[in-house]
Amino acid sequence: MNRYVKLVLMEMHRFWKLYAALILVTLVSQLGGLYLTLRKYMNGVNGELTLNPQTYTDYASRFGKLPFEIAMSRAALWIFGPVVLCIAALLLYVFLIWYRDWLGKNTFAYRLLMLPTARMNLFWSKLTAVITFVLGLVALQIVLLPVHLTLYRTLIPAALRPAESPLVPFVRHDPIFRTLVPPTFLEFILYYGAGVLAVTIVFTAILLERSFRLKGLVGGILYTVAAAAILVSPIILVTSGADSLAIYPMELFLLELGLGVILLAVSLGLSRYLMNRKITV
Amino acid sequence: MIEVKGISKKYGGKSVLRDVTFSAERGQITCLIGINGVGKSTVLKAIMGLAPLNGGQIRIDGKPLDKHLYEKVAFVPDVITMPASMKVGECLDWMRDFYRSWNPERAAELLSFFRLNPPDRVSSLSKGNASKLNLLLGLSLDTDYLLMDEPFSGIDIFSREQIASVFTSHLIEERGVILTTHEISDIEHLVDKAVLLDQGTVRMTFMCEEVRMNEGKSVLDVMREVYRA
Amino acid sequence: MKRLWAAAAFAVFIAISIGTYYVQASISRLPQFKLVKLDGDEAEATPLVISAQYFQLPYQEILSISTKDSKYQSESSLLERIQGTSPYPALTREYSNFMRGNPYAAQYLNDDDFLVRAEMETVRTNSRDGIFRLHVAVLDKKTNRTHRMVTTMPVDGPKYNWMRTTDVQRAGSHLKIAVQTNSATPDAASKEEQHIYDLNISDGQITADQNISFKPFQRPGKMLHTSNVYDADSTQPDKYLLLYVTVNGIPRDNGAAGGRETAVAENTVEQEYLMIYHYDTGTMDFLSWPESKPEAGLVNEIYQDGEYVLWTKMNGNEVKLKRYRLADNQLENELQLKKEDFQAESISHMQFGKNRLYLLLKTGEKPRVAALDTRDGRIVYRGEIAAKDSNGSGKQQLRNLEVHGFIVMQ
Repeated sequence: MNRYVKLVLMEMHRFWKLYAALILVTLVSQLGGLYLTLRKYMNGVNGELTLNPQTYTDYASRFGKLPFEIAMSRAALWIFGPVVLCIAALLLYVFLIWYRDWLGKNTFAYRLLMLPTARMNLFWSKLTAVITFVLGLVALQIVLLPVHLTLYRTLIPAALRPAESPLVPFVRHDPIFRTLVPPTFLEFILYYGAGVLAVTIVFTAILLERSFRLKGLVGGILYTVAAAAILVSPIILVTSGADSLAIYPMELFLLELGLGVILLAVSLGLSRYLMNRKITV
Repeated sequence: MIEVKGISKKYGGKSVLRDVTFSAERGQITCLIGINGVGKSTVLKAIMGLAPLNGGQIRIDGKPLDKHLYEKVAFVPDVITMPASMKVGECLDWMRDFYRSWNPERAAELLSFFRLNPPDRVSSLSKGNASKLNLLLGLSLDTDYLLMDEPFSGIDIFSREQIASVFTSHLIEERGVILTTHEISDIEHLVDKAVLLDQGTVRMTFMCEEVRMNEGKSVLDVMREVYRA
Repeated sequence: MKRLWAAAAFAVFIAISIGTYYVQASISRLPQFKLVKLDGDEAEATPLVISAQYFQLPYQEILSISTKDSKYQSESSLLERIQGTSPYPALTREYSNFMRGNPYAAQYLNDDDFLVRAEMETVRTNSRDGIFRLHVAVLDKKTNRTHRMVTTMPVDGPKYNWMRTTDVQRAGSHLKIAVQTNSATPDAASKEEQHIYDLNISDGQITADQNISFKPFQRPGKMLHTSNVYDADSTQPDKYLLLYVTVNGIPRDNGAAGGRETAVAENTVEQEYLMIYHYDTGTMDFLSWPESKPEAGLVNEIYQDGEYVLWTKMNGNEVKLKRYRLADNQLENELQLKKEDFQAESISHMQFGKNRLYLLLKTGEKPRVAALDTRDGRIVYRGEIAAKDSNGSGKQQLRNLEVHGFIVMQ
């Protein structure tokens, strides 16, 4: 097992308790919240049935059915609350995964920087860990959806459910799920790839701060702002177009892709330089 | 041989080290002496690649520092370098995992010598024990060189004697040692070469035994002469 | 070692769950439809693209159906969505560098020697001092070089609220650029104008400005409205500029909208004319329809097809078509088609192509398409939308399909 893999395992192990807590919160909130929402609905239905005895079918023709999407949107706070929490926690950890090595009296950074391994492996292992944490939560959400659907089918009688609602259209049409799980695999790679680029840029800014302290903090912020400006500038130039600057959407897309790749390479190169030559404990 | 040639370092605008030159040979204990804040720690960190230099060169056995040399040079800093939540035993496992030059038998030997308990968490260790753990982690690597930053600072006298006894044991033997201290009295008898630092430069370098024999002066005597000049 | 197995298991879990989702997503579950031929020439239906909605409750999926297959909007790939569509696909393919810019904002001329683009840019506009820039680009097909000219408009004289190019034609080394304007005069009746600017290609100077007079149509207290006549092949050289002119009654402001001028859409169309401007002579003819007062309930469509103009009126039950020669304003032929001629419940939509009239028909469950030759009224193609699923579910799928229009691709 090479040292990069060992570092990845170490990074994952350091976070696993918090990660497990996030997973647990997600499970409890989503499943519990959906259960409560469905129960509340059925209580309402059964209450009506007690007052005016009728079949579920009659009820449905009078008051309508409860489609899966509506049930999910009624439970939206329970479903998306933990998603927001997880995103916030991971965003924070993008910073903490570095700074925790320096915080307090236990400067673990000494140990890591003295390892007989390329210093970039520290960078790669932290990046790998963050990517794995993010994708793990996405995978968890994907796996939870059929569970939600089953819970819905169990609690809501067939007469009150519209015909089949397969999950793929549900994800495609729900505005939030569609963002977490993009419609095509190509888009998944592009959007999460952009996320990897963003994390890489932030890591580079962090390394600037760790190398030059206060000056580095300013430098890091400027670097992040400059990177964002470079990525946004073609889009702004195009939409304010005099006709001769006009570029085709596909060309703009490829340009953005190219800029992203260049920014990634520059960030990685700069990070490598900082880690090997400038970083200070 | 570790060669430090004309290194300089600035923090902010201030010059901390200016044109510092000395060398440390294998089988010798070289001591960097100076008051607190003179830059001794910085020299050790620079040798270990933990602090960039503004000028000068460092060569270890003729080569500049690269990742492989971390198996040949060990550093015992004056801060705790393991995460607070880790247990002593886990620290040893961690080192064994990452270093080919880790010597588990020596680690076990030092563990019992220093009377450290594997299940104890790093955060629960006293300052003395934490320093001993640091030393253990450095000494258990089969390295050619060992750098130690203030190994005795803030340690109780008994621990200090324990640590000092390590220097004369087989655990040091053929290694080249560079250590820094501002309390030379405890280990004067162990040191082979002394490098006196003052205001960021090397004021004097001498072999302790020679000076003792030829001039009848102790290291402290030389220090008084140099710093009061 | 334990950590490695746990991490590996986690990685496998991630790969499998995300992978399974995308494998599922890539297998289209949405029903496929096709336009199949009932009789006639299959090639007639190739340019047709029918837009529809498929209801799979609670979702409505937007799709387009052709003779080849169905494309659902929610299943379109990212690259397809980025690429989008151009109104001039052939020109964009062949002259991709020249065709940059917003194609909907400009007029094009594609003849044997040149490719020309004319666009009016609005630099500043307030009610009195509109400043515009006319951008003209001329690609010489022989030398493959592009000559660009910019002229600030208006050249002199009256001010405009807006100016926009509506056509561009070439006469030798001069371009004739048709521009519609809305002049900043307080008199509502004389607001809209059509100008033909003469531009010298070699120096980019505007040498003439003909303000097409609509005096013959103007009536006191009435408002004129002009609009261009649809021509599917607008990039081809054309001897004529066709304008559809309506004389509208100006509604009295009844104060309900708080004194604001009410929208043009509330004007009543009292008379309609077709104005024909001849580029070579600079003269105008006009055609008034035999039934000049538009009939209630009938949709009016005017369409230019090369040297002819087609005037049609349609409602759900019938289509009336008159085909006029532009050279001498004479009626060439006319057609009258009823829904019974197609065994349809109703005629829902109509589109035009070169010498073709396309109809979208409702016939019970399966929507149908018919293509006619406008020269003689011959039905050259009939087709219907069928579900690819030939078993029982196909019928249910068709019931969930709602067709709402179609276009003719170039």
